[in-house]
Amino acid sequence: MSAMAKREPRSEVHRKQRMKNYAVFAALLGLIVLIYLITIVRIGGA
Amino acid sequence: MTDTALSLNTIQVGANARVGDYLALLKPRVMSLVVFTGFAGLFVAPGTLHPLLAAVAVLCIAIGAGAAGAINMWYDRDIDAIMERTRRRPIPSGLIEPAEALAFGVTLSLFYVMLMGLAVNWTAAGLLALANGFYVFVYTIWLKRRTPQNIVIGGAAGAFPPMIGWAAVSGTVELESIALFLIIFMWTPPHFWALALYRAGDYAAAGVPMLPVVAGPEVTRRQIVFYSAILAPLAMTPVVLGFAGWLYAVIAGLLGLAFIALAVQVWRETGERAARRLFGFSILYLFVLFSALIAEQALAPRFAGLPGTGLGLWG
Repeated sequence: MSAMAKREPRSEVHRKQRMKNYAVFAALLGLIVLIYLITIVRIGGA
Repeated sequence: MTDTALSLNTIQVGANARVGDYLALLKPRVMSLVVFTGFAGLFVAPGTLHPLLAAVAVLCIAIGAGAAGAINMWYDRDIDAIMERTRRRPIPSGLIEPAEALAFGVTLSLFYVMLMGLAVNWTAAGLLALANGFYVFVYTIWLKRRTPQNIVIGGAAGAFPPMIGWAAVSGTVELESIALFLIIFMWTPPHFWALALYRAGDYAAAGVPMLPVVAGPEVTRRQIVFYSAILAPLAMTPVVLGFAGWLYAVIAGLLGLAFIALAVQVWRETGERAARRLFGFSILYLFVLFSALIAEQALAPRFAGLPGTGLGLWG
């Protein structure tokens, strides 16, 4: 089995799990960016 | 056991839940009014706040309120499964495990209270924690299943957002923000009792002692008129306190008269139609009332004799 084929969701359950993983990743990334921006603003004296 | 079977076994809990089911735990429809009134409090408060921090404050109010909603769904999962209106929620549908919903709500609640404190100020964070605690412990756990006054006292939880928004800018609790709190506090009983009038069977089946279930529709209708008669003049307090002007006064006056007229219609008609109409109008009422407050502040703060606009004068 090729590397590409392994990445394909094997069932509906896997597909939903993968979507949840993406959502958690996006939420964490968003929070990192947000906290970075808050830090910059607060350092600036706001 | 094959690798596939093993991996399937390890992801059984909440395996069928979609991302949208977790968002549904946050009660997005309730959240929209919470966000809007919170933003209104923030916008009309005197003082300045960096736009990014204002956006963070609104985000914290939104997710904080949503997190309390998730904890509420965890605690009420037994009665949610009985009631027609709530039986399709993620926990009674079996899509999300109760413990997972609880962990989701508690984690979000704690995180966003901390974020509010660190990014904005601790007065706003304290009020957000108070609102969440009030909703979960006072309303959901203590009052909801015990007394028909559940939504009268418990309604305070939903009245906090404009006060939190105000505190995000000013850093304090002031008479003006208490006035905004009181408007929503007095709006809550007629709003929920209108709904309970045509959902009484649902509440009775679930054993929730809403006023129409315990005291009957006649008493409920009289109480709706009583609270509406208090709400209409109370909505004028922003004018009396000087942070709203004639535009708001006219709109609040007309809305108040319409609210009373619909409440009287509920009192006189025995059918469901008037109650449904009042419930729908009550949502519009709050939205338009706070829109008027925002619009007046945005368009003519000096004309209204206002002390300053939280966002508009930033810089």
